[in-house]
Amino acid sequence: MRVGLFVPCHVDQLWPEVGFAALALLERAGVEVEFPAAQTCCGQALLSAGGRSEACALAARCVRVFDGYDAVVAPSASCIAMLRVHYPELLGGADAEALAARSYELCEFLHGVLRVPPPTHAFPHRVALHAGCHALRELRLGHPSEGGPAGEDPVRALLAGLGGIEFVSLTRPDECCGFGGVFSTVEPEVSCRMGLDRLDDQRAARAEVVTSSDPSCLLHLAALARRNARDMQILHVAQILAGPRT
Amino acid sequence: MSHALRAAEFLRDAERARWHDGSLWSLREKRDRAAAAVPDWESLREAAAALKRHVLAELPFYLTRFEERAQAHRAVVHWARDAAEHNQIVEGLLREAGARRVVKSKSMLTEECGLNPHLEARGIEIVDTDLGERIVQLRHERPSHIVMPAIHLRRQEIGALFHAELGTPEGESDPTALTLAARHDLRARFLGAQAGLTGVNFAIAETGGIVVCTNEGNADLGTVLPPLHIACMGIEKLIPRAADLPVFLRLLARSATGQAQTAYTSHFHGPRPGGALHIVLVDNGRSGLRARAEFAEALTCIRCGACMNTCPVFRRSGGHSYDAVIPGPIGSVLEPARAPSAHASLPYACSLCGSCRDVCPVRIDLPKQLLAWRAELSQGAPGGALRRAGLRVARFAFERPRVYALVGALARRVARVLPERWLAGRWNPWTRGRALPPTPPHSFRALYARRRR
Amino acid sequence: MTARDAILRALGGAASASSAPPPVYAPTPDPDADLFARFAASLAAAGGTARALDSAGALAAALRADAHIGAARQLWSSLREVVPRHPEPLRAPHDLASLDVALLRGEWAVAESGAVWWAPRDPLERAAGFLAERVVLVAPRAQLVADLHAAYARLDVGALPYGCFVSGPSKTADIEQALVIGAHGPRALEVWLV
Repeated sequence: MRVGLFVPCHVDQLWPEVGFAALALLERAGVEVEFPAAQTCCGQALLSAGGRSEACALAARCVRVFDGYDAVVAPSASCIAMLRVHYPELLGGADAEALAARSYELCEFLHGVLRVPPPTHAFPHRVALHAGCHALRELRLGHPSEGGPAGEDPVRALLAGLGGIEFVSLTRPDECCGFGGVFSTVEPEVSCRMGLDRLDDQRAARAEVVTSSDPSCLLHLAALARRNARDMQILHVAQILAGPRT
Repeated sequence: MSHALRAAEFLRDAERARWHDGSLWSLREKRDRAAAAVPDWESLREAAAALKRHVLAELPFYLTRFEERAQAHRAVVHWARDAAEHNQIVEGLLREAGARRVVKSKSMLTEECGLNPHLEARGIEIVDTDLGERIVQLRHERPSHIVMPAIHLRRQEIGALFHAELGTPEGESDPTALTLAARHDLRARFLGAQAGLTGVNFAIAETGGIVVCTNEGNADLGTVLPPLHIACMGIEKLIPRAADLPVFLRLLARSATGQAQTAYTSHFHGPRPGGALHIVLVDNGRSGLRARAEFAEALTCIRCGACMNTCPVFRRSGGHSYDAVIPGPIGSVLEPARAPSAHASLPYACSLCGSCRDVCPVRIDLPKQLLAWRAELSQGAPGGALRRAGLRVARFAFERPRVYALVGALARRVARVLPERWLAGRWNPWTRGRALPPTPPHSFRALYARRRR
Repeated sequence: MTARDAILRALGGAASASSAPPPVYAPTPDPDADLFARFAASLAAAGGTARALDSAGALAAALRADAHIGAARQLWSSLREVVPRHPEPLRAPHDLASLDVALLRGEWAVAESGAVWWAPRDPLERAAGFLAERVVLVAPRAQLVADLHAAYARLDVGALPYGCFVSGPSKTADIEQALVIGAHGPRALEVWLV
């Protein structure tokens, strides 16, 4: 199986460790992984800013760049939601449908497709799972608290085997962190209030680590945490799963 | 002023904002419990969505059938192209009946048409009898939520208002005492009213009847005491048959407040003995919206308000920050259709979390419609030229991996070199509440390429 | 062009028939055996109280024994054969402004929501049901159904100018979400299923 690794633009530029953790996990699972360097961005930020035609152009490009891989895997639920939910609607046609059908969020791929056994190295920490909205409400990788279509949460399933891990319970387990792409800068006050409420909830639950399958949520929460002197460790799930070897 | 600026204003009172968020969240939780108790909840949503979309597709047929059947029950049916026509018709009916004292139960449509100011300017007294509506009427402000109009107010504020307007003791803020005062005041108004106006929750095409749901019983008090009943409805409020009512009724109150049913679900077929019933069918932009494939779905809304209760942005900004008749997620889809430049900021008052789509009883894909508005409005909106230019530049860079990589590397270099106060100035909306993002020396692609060599 | 013509034209022109029939919802049958218990719980959640009575005799006894009915200065009764109405002449609904108790006859009761279908023909009775401080709604136990689908299947809502599902006393939570029973209408509702 040939996997094309999709590295979100914000991971590529701001958080390369996440890309390498994803790469390591896929290689360890025994698949042939390649990072096609022609990729740039899935276009969700442009779509969210009203740039439908620009997003279409990037979508068409992305379909071409990832042509030929058996699966396209990204350590980002929001990018995969873009590929799976929005590309068919933006582009129409068989190629977009075919890409959508073989695009996976990393944990979804490892757990649901490759069925790798969850790692068991030590991670004796209280962990808050941040349910990203794209993972939960677009890819349906979990149970939304408001009800609606649901599925298994591969993030929790993969983390569950780690030695000493403890999942904290939050008062609002799946409220949006407030990043929302362009929303974070168009409505910064509301965006920050939403993020701080997540951090407060996590702190009240005495979480040591905050994790998610969405790096954009985590970058926003980390930036808020730093400015507001919150000392929780914010890690992408790939980093936790890849363990101390990376 | 944009939603963003009003929201920032709202958040300055952190304690009040937290309280407002908490009030609405508890309504969301009540809705969750009520929905979980109905095993066929998702099937009901699907059925409601299918029924409403069917009616919307066949609207001319259902409207004329409704008119015919309502007339057979001796209701008088009027048609209004727009708000002005609606107001003229209502005014005309009141004048004809010699009615100068009117009571009104909740109708967002009359809010949309600006009926109250129209009548008041012409010497007709119109009193809102829904307690929340009455409170905001006395305060001369808009409702901040379509189901809980006064949810933005603390009891002390309502106490002060009632002290000034109803003569309650100064400092009295107990909700029961205040409600009792309103009960006495409104009881007198019901008894003295010469006409009663209501909205319509559902209009049944097959029977020609209208259904009004209240917890207070004010629609009933307002229509059994005076001889004239005027019911105002948007043309989209139709459902095909009486047998379809349970689908909607089982969803409505649970979605709105977590109750199984409102205290009163009143069905009107023609006037009461000795009275008259006039039904005003209002278009006011609905036919236009129906003709737009991307937004027509918004007309299936049954006005439950669940989207507002679940919306993390609404809860933290308050209904008034939308500066629209209907706020929240559904308002952000409906209002730009009415006034694109006035409401251009509303589709952006959303983090696209998708929770509204999950709670909507008629399965309106609100995030999809909000995104469609963003694309539409960026064509000609003010400030749109800059945004459009920015999007073109972004596209240019992202279509060329070497340009993108260079721009990325340059931006990170600049961020590492420049003093933070330059980068984190007032001009930078990111840094108003957050630290700058990390600036690693090398990108993933650079390191990957290096590794491969 | 009339407004009617303009609106119908904007909607694509008048239509004498729909191109497809409306979708039909098939409700899942409710397996709940104890409908009365469910009804009582639903009504209690809505602020009302439910009571089961075995016979017409038990109903008559309960009416005689009821303290509120006994103490009422002004009473409306739709159960004339059991409790006569207060002898004061009532001409208009407004005469009922100080009504203490209204005894009303309901038809179908719905376990899922604690609602009872009440379809007063007389506007005076309709007014009584909303102006009274307390309402006692008497309905046949044999006409207790599981949910609204079952109720609407048995109702002809268009047969009368007015019909109402009553599922609790009048209430509001418009002030800080604090529940207050007795907003504009009755402050108490009792449903007696006989």
